[in-house]
Amino acid sequence: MTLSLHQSAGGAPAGALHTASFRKRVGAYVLCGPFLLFLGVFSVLPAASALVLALFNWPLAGGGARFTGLDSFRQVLDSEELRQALINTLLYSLFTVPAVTVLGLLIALTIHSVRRGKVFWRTVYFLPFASTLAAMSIVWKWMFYPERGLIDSTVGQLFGVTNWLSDSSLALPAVALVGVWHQLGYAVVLFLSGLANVPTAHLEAARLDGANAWHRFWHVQWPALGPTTVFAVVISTISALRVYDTVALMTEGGPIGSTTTLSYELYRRGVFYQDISGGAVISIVLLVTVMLVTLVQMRSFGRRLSKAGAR
Amino acid sequence: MAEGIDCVDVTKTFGPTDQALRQVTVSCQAGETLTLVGPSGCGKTTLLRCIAGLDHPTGGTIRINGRDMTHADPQRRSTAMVFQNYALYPAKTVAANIEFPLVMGKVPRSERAGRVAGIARLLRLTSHLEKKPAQLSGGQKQRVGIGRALIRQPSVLLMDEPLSNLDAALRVDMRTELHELFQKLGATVVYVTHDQTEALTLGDQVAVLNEGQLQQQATPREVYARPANRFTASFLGAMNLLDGTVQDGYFRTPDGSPIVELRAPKAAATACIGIRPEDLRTADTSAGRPHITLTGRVRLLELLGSEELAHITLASDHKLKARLPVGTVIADTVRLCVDVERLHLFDAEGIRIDT
Repeated sequence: MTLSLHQSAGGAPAGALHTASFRKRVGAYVLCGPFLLFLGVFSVLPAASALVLALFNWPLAGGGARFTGLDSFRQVLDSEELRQALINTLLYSLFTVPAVTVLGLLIALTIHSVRRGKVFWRTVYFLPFASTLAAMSIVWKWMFYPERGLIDSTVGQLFGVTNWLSDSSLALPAVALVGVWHQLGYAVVLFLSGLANVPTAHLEAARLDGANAWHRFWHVQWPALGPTTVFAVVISTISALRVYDTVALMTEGGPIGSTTTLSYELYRRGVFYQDISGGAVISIVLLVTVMLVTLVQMRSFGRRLSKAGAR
Repeated sequence: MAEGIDCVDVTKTFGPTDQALRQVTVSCQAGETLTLVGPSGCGKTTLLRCIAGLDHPTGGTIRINGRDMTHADPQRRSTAMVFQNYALYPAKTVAANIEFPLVMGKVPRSERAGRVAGIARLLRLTSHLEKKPAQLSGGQKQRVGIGRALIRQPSVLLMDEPLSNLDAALRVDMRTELHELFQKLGATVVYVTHDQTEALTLGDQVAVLNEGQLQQQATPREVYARPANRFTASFLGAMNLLDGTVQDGYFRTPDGSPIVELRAPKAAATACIGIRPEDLRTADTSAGRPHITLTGRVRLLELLGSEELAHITLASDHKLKARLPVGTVIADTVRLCVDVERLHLFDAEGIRIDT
């Protein structure tokens, strides 16, 4: 709209300029209106109401809300549970995001290079992402079942590592493993579409210039995949920071809080213990964490990678 | 440095039905420029890709400097290619783009800088070396593409319609530049184009392709003066082709009027006569040489600058075009003549008949 203002400024009388730009503006708002309303009601309002919820005490048994100010913030932010949940969440992201990105890229490169059955392999890897994570978490819980589960009777026999979900140092990696399994297909599909967009002529030019497969990847495909990589990392990070289903169904945050993530802590405090304002504070912490991590990612490598892919 | 190329009976099929090349045999002497010309889909780019090693022929042999390279890797062929859409690496600077083949060839860093500078001087890119391809104009991008191809001093330079993405004025300038460059380098060049002017001006040899088959390979002069068949005649120089029959030693139009006496023993019952638009003159300017005269109605006059292109319909309903000096056509009907020695004759199969 600023642009249209500048455009109509060329030589038109001031009055005409005003009405013309005014009309254009109104038109623009009318066109955006329904979506803005939708955005306001379903995105901005809930986020803002979290802040309101956090500032009041809400007795669920009945009776009016009491303004408590920053009490809930103090209480929650000082708690050992939140510190633990934050560490677990960041650890979980650290376990899943690099694995999802690197494996996703490697698998996409492999599928991209096969001559036949591209669609088949793409579908195979995408299936976990398309499936219901809650249902799959139960399946995985059974696979991790002590002694008789698939994991313990195979991997456990080979390496002597058993009873993952009851071990406070193995439970989080086990949940992360399921997270990687679930997210991988999405990354694969993203990278495949990125690879399909690399112009064939660039790869052929590189071949004629004497580049082997590795050099063709490093000098042609990888720079072109920059924006895709940024997108894949940011999306899988956001999804990792919000992990809930697997934790709730496989470990219920245990053993001894070793898999309690921010989302699960939010559920535990806000729903299970019915501390609504406390839960609201955690939801704000989660939002801020996601925003901060995304910001750091965009600032550190996002801009450089996006630029490399621009043509 | 320069090496010759021989393509013998090269055939390329895509899938069970699509025959892109049918037993094409062309050759290019060391240091010469061979232009491959033909309409879209004639197989000229496929042939170039087979020479480059980006595609492999289904049949036939490709020899570079006498060595069989039919199935060799592109890297082993010492060929370099300039792409139609430039195919510059977008994330690299101009200098890095030009340098890339040297980096891949493990040329020492100290030597690379000097060679890049040399190529940049040759192609007038010195002031653009630190720019990214996106910051360059079409002509500059193409020069970078040429620089990247030349830096390894390839024995064969392959060019796939390098000027087709440029605007008309720039294309003419770049054509001249390329011509001078080819002469300066003395490299073997195979140049694909659909533009007849490029094909004739740049080529020491011209190979005309249509529907995957070689129509003719000869010098530009020969191809133009003595086209081997109807296709070559009409594709290069838009020759007028008049169908008719041969009776009693005369070539006749379908309505039976004799046009020219034939002495060719090979003349078939049906045939075709070809006249270049520029070989037609207004009848009153004939200078006593044996000639034939045609009368027709002027449908349309197009000003080309120094000449006019007259679209004419003959009484026999044949249509032809004539390039005439501006102002020669003053009436609706016009009498044109053409020297008999300037006539081209083709038999029923479209093959040239030498009279």
